[in-house]
Amino acid sequence: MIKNIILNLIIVCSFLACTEKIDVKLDSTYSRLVVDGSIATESGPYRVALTSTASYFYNEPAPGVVNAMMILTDGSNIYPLNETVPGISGIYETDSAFSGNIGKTYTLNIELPEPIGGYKNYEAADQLRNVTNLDSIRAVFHPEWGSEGIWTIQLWAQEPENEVNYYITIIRLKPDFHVVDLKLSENQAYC
Amino acid sequence: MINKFWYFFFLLLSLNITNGHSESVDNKNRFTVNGKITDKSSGEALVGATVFIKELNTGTASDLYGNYSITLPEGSYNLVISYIGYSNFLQAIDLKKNTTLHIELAPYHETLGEVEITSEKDDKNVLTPEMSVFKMDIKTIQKIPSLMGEVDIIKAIQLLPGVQSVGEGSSGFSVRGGAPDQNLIILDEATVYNASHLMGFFSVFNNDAIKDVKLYKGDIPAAFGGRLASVLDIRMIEGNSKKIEVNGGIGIIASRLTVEGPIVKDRCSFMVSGRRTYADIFLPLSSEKALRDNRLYFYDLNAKINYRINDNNQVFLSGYFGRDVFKNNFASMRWGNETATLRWNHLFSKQLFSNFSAVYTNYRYYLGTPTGETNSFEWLSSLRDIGVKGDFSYYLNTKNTIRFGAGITYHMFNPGLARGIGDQTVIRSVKIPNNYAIEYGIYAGNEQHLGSHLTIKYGLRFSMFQNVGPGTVFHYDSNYKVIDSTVYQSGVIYQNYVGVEPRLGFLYDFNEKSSIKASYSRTLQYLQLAQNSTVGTPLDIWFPASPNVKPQIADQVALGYFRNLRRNTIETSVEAYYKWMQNVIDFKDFAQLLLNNKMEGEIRTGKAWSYGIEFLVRLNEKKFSGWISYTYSRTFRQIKEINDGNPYPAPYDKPNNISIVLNYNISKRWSVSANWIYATGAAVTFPTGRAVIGGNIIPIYSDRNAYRYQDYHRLDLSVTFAGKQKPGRKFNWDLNLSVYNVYNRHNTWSVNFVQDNLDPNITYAEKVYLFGITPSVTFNFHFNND
Repeated sequence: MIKNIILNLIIVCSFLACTEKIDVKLDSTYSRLVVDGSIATESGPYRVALTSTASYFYNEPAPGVVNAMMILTDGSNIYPLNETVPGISGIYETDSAFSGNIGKTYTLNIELPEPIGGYKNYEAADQLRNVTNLDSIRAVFHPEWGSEGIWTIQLWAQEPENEVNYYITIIRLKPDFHVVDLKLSENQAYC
Repeated sequence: MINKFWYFFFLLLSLNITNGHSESVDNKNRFTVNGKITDKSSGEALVGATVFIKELNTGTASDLYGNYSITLPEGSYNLVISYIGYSNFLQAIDLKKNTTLHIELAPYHETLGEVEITSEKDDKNVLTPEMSVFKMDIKTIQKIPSLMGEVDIIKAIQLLPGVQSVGEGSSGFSVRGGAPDQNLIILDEATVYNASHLMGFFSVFNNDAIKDVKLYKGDIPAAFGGRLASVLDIRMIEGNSKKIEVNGGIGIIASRLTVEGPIVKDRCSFMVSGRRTYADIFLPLSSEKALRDNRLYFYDLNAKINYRINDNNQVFLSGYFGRDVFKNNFASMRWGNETATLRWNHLFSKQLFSNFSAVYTNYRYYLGTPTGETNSFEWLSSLRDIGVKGDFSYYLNTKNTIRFGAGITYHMFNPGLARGIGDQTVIRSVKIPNNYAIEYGIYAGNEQHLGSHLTIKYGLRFSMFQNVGPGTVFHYDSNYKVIDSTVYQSGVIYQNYVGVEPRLGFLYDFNEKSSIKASYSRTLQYLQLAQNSTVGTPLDIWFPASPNVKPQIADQVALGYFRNLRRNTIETSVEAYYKWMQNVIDFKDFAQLLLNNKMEGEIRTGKAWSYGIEFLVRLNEKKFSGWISYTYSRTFRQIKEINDGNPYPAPYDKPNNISIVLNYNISKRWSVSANWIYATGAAVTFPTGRAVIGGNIIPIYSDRNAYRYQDYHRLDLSVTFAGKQKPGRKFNWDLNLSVYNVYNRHNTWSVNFVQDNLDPNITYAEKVYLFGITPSVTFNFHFNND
């Protein structure tokens, strides 16, 4: 909210401001491995996409990393992830029987055919945490905001008081839904 | 080091006393001439006017209140009193007893057609041991072409060598590589914590209420402390003590009006000045609906009253009040400064002058939304100071001027309180605890002439800073995570910092036309601004040194050569400096500075250094005035946790800088002004790689400030046409036409990296520029009741 106000203020102050496209020469930096995936408690398959970073003006889909070996473990079981189209897709998938268990710590192990960023082996672990129960979801219309009014979608939940938690909100829209502009506002969690 | 310095200090003082003593043996009868130097037409005190004794080839200058004092052997003398923009005044005196001589100087324009006596003593810049100082009177500033017709002191300051603007149109400035919060900005001795209006496009200083402005870029006198880089000393006019005067102006975005005059002639006078913008009047005309409902304006009020009780006592009460207001359907925001200064100017004797001040200042902001929503809230923050100080000048003899004094300031910080308002709100209140601190300063210094060509200046400031309870101090581990906290009760001093700040200056004049000067100064800073962006917002908060934040320290050395040409109408100088800074503050990447009670954990400290060379040619002819300067400077920071511990350029590192500021008076009615500015583009961090996560392009950034914006340059022009002037005419006017950015250069304000709407794989760079060619017209008027 506060950020919005400041942004608004800057917009008003700069009613003389203009923008134009410019050419900027940027150096490129070394490649890093990007691992993009998630698991939850429903049954799978869950997908993990491996890509590598590119120069900032690469202007094509991120280059996939193929032929990697990938396994997920929870300390006692091992769940391999297999590339959907071996050697081509760069997307790795669990078995459809796999589902996550709350409270368990999962470790993802990756072995690359060629080193990226100087390393061939990558590993990361995290605990699958419980999400607080949603109390309600509200849609509130603000006719006075903007030219045609704005809907705010509000998620209501009780935040556990003595923990620091980070949330990810994924919004999926039905294809026939008409949305002019969708903006996510970060500071919508009230303590 | 400290002990050595004290030794040195006492040695010099004792040297000077014996010196003084031996002189008094030679000349048994020594008498003092003192008095006040004022403007003949308005009665305003003239600050820094020179009193030159022809026969002895020596002199003195008036202090901040226009008072001067000089002690001479018995005899007959010719005094030449001079001040830039005023005709010289010659006075012969037969000195047989202590004498009080008040002097009124007439401004040039009132000495109609009279031939100017070319000044013998305008070579002050060569012959005073002060260096790295630039003084401007308001008349000079008013001639500079302006943005939207609002002539601005800070914009004028940014045209000086060694001073950089922090962004297009910004009121923030960097002096010799220092951060904007390392400048002490004082208005009638009260600290102004945020000098910006309208996001910085204008400063809080209304020209009509200002008398003069002095910027110390280094060689800061021992009387000042608390900031590393500079002191910007701004004085309000006292108010015409002879006649009622009304000054005003109507511009395209603001109007101003100032009334001043005597309450009791020559004894008591007042000044009231106001200014308000009406830019928001035009917002409803905007084609963007989002803008139409907005209210956005600022206003300022300045007032001053002074009462001259007698020759030895004068009191001044002055104040400033300013607000910015921004309002729309979603939110409202207000911010501004208030200052008040009460001063008592007392002459203990003809040689010992003093000034006692009590100062109050308050900077605060408010942010809130309308009630009735689930997220309705308000947010308040403030910083208040209450302080008292005493400053003394002792004009011992023509060879020594001793200055000493002490001051104490109590700081009250309210970093932020946010709470829900109305029945519907679900926002719980968040309060960052208030904290309190006391800042002390004691100083003494002497300006001493040794022989006929050498002058030295030495001073010492002793500063102390105490954090006083109630307060909560968090303890951090080496990863800046809070491990514990301590709560202190009211009145408990839980941290104490002391600083010894030597200030040294040296002048050797080869002759009246040329000299070399050198200086060394150490400055300490106990308050700083938490700022995420270079340009700053009104929400930036000041926070004090504390158990977790050590005071910042700067040591600066400077060396300069000064030469005047063509009978002092051209001043030239070259100054080189090097500055080392310790405990300099920067913030970690993605620092959370607002409403964060553990903000100290976001701070990273290290060292910084800057160096540069400044060339200046300044013209002071009656018809032709202005300056041309070129500066080469660099400034770097090195902080362990930032940029992998490697040095990086500070955001204000703009190596090449040229300013040309010229004014030409074509005739009594027409004058033209131009300025041209060139600066290397600011150092900035750009992305050099990208990762795609969940369909979003995440930038991977370069080393800190590894890139630069395009170079900045801009030409501004203005023409002023004045109404016919006749002696005795009560109403005068002029019309000023200014064009900002004449050749319409699109100077970069910021660069955004944007993901293309149609093809999300494509990213491109887009620059934002603020002001293309911007013409404006201002009508100024002046009325006096002669």
